[in-house]
Amino acid sequence: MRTIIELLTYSWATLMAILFVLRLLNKALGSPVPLLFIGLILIFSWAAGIYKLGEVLDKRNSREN
Amino acid sequence: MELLPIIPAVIAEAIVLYMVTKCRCVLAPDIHKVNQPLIPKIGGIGLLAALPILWLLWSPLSKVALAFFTVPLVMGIVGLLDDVYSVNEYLRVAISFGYPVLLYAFGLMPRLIYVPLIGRFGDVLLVGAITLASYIVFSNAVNMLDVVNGVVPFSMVIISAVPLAYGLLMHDQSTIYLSLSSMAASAVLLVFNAYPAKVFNGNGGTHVLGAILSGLFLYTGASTFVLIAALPYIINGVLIIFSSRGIKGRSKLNRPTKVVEGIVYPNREGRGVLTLVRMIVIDKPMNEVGIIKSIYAAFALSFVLSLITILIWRSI
Repeated sequence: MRTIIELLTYSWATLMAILFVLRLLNKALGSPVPLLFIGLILIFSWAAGIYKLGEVLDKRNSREN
Repeated sequence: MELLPIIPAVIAEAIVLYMVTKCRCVLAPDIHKVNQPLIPKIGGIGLLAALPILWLLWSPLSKVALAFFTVPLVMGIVGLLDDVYSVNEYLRVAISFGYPVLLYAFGLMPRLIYVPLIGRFGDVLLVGAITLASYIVFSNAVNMLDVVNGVVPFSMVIISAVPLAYGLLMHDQSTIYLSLSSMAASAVLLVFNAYPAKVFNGNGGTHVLGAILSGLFLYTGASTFVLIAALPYIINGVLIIFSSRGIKGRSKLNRPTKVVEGIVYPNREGRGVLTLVRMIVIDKPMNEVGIIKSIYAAFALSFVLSLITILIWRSI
């Protein structure tokens, strides 16, 4: 369970950070098109971060076992 | 009065699923069991019996009801045909995602979305993009995690509790009805799909539940909270797509785990694909029941994180 908890809490915390950035940008930009592009970049980076963490945890565990 | 359609829908679904267990048709092996018993893989047909009742007896002409109930119906029928006859992949995708696109293009779907913590959006292009992406992401994400008994309907019961809590908080009857419909239909399926499964969800079942999840995301006003409650699905999908370098069929992927005498181990031969189940068994190899309990715990944790997010949203 340790690995799943690490993945879940990391995903939630980083998603919350992204949501607050998008909230600020939504107020500052006013137009939805730039927000959509920035949102897509942030969400893709978020997904890549989850994969990278998963890969690191998988390697760490294979070394330990 | 508003909640009355749920009762006949639940009864109809239970009767249909009971008949499926008796007919023993369209069978598939349960690969995690030692003797690999053959199980009917058309659980989606039970949901297809419940959805028209939930839709027609409630508010059939409203845009929200039309989108929330008919998209899962169409996706479910295509998925069910795929379970029985193996429909061509391109035709399946074209009908499943072509239908919501047509509904949206003809203005038969809501063109307004509220994303808690970010804001309210009414731009036709932006909402259209979010709507289509939501159906694609959730229906595939649910399908990808349908690997052990009971996980998909259990997760849907838990996830539906989040918009239900939000609906009760906001006194929004529509959100309460949609959440309870999703919760009731999933709970009946869970009775038949829970370990040891008497019925598999099949593509029909996972596509219906994926589209319902998408509906909860789009039409309840609780999108952010639904997304967080569904994090195990998202994490599993992200791990699979990134580690396999794109979207590929299950048969083309290097197996993430291997089963030895009923115990599931991570597959260390070659470059195994990363999945949620692999992330569970890298800590400690375990049997199917252990994996199911771990996934249930993951959804329970996501549910708690979602409730924390609601509290944060209320406090700002």
